[in-house]
Amino acid sequence: MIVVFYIASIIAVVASIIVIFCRRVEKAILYLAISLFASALIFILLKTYISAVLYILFFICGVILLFLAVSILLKIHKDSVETNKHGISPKIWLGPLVLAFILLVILIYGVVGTDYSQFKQSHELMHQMSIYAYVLMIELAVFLLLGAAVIAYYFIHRMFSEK
Amino acid sequence: MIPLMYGLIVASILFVIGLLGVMIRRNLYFLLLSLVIMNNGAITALFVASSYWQQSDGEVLAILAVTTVLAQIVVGLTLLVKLIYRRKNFNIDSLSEMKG
Repeated sequence: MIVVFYIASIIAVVASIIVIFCRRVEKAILYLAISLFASALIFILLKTYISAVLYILFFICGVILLFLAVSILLKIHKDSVETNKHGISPKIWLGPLVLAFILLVILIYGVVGTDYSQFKQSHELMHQMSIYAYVLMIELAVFLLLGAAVIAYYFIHRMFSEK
Repeated sequence: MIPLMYGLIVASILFVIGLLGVMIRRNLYFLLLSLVIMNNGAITALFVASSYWQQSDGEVLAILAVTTVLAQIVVGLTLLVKLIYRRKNFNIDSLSEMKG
């Protein structure tokens, strides 16, 4: 089981790296789908089945559908901003790479250095309190999606009525 | 049983990859893709923690995070459409130039 976890996480990481460095839109969307499905496999290995199914249905399908629809609608096929033939030039990515590597080292140091045994106690009360707040949280999430849809409609409508 | 440490390390790596993408890409479309990867790392951390403590609170938070990411993508793609119609390019740096 741990071997499957290793394989899935390596696939997720490699596909994510390919997504941020490739220049063709369809390739990027396909690799993003592979990365998200590998994450879903990790969630299934963690035995959170219902949430993994909801993740696949809402997140993966929603994200892929939205990005694909926009790329077809606007006829985006290649990244026209980066004009360099061999991808993005090292002048751009060298500084952020160093900063991101330092952040990664700090994050992994924090994860490895934590003593997880002391987290085991005193979470019963929070669970009891939070179980009543779920209905409110679901309503908030639905209102958030509705607000996003209204904002999208308003932007597009105003943009076309200006012309 | 997958240890909590390995899952959190994978989540950190995914988050940092997404952050790197946000920093190096200038195309708004690929910037949104990098934001999805970053949020995927955060959702992975929530799932792993929820599985470690054997409670469903983390899963509920993860589904809430999924909804938030979807709302963020809807608004971001709308801004992308507006950017293309106004400036005729995808470069997010063109927004820093003032015009009229």
